[in-house]
Amino acid sequence: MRQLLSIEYSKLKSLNAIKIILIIYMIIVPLFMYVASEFLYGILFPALKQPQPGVEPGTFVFNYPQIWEFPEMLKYTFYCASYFHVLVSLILVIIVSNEFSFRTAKQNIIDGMTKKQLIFSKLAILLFLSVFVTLYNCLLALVLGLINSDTVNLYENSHYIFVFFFQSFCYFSIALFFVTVIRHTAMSLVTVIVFPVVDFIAGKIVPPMIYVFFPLNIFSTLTPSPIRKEILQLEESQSKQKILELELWQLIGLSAAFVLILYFVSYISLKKRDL
Amino acid sequence: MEILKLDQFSDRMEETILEISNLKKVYKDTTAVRNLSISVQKGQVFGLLGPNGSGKTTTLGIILGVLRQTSGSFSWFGNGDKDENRKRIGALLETPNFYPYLSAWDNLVVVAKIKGMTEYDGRIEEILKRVNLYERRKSKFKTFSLGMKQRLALASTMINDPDIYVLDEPTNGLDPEGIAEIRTIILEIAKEGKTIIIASHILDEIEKVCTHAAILRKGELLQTGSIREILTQERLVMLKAPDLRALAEALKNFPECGFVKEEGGELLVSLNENVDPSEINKKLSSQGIYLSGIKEHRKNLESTFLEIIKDN
Repeated sequence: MRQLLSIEYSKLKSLNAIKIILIIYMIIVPLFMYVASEFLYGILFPALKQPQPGVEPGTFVFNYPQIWEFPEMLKYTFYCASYFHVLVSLILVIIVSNEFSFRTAKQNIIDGMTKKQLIFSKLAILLFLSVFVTLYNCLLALVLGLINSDTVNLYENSHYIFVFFFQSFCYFSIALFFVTVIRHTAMSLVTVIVFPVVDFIAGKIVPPMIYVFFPLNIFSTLTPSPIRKEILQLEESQSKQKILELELWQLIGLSAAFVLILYFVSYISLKKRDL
Repeated sequence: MEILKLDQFSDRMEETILEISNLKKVYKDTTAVRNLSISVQKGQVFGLLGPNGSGKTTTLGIILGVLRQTSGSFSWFGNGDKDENRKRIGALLETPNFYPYLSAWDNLVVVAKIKGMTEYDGRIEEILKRVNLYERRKSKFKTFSLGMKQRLALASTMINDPDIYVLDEPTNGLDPEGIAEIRTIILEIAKEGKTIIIASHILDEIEKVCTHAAILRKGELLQTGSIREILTQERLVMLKAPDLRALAEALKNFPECGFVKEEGGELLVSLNENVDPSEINKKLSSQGIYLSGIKEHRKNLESTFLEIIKDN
């Protein structure tokens, strides 16, 4: 494995696109956190304090979540960062589709790599990216939390670190799946970017009971918005319907199952087709 | 036509580097390789010849692990088709494939690492100088001309000093100077006792470097053996007469003649073995056609190749 990482490092160290995208990511996440916070505190939270249509006054009580305080800080950071998983997954798409379009995947095989090693190399990059975003956001949460928070509570939501790592792994795996099957650089990029949009639109069309099981919805629920419970409660009161809410362990299980299917299909695709 | 495999029965104990048995590759609408069996011994410079579409690149693709055969098998060093064999082979298949944004040096570092080399700086410097690319070692691959790309590809085959080379059209895109350079390098490598498998159309070059050859057409093996054996297929003569057309017409009906090709105002004619040119002269004169010139033509691979292809 170390040898594979060494090989990938030699291939990628001068690829500037990677560095640029990562720098954009590192700037845009804290930026988004501040901007979203302004929106939440400025518009959304006050709106939720008002009496809601279709709901009897007094049944829905909204308390401002303390997203800049420590226990919530980590969750809020991860929630904001999860919007940009697609951005980082583009790095993976570029790297893998390059190997197809330059025909260097074929050349690696001729030079002596096995197909398994080829796959593991790309998985190693995927894991590296997951580790990178997780560590970065932990650091971000720590720093911003220390700046803004009075109390320091590092342990309460720390299991979310693993959840976020797992979530990033899932998102990147979807990108890896698409690029392995599609292979063409532009088409893969388009698919990876448009897929979340399609999922979102589908969510507006499909009945809520089914949408709960849509893959991207499951992934994104792993890092819920700070006011998710309240919004769901509101929707339930308004529509008088109970919306199914999955436990964390159920979400993780379903995500893992879905990702395993993706890997299986990717593997078959790689094995059967010529390079 | 009978397939000659005389070297298989030679009494030297030779090590079989590559054994291909009944290889077959079928695509949706065409059979690229059918029932191909070839044996390459250690130290041979083995040429794979054939017109476009004869299955050379497909065969090389299969034995290098890039394509999967429909049926049949191959074995390197008696070790089957295991992936690890490829680390002992320096191969150049079709076009040179490198990372455009990496320099020549960095590209070779990638190849070195894949082959499992831990110390490679000295070796990379050495082979870049050998293919005349040392000055451009820091330039990005995408800035290279076709000839330079080809030379870098050749360099990458040599990087871990393998025992076997597999080269698909190594002189592709090179000017005469480049072709001569490649030829020199190949001959130097051959002198070191390495085994080289070359696929090429440039029959002149094959004749200059190869010791053995296999001729393919439409995926089938037509003939294999040492260059010497292949070249002694028939004799060639250059015939001249005042009326070339009449001469050609007459020759067409002669069973002793193989092919007839016009070259620079003369006719290049191949005769079966044991046919004396004077017999032809006699037959022609009895038909009222008198030759103004008759001379033995040096056998070369190109005419042999055409002859064999035509026969089948």
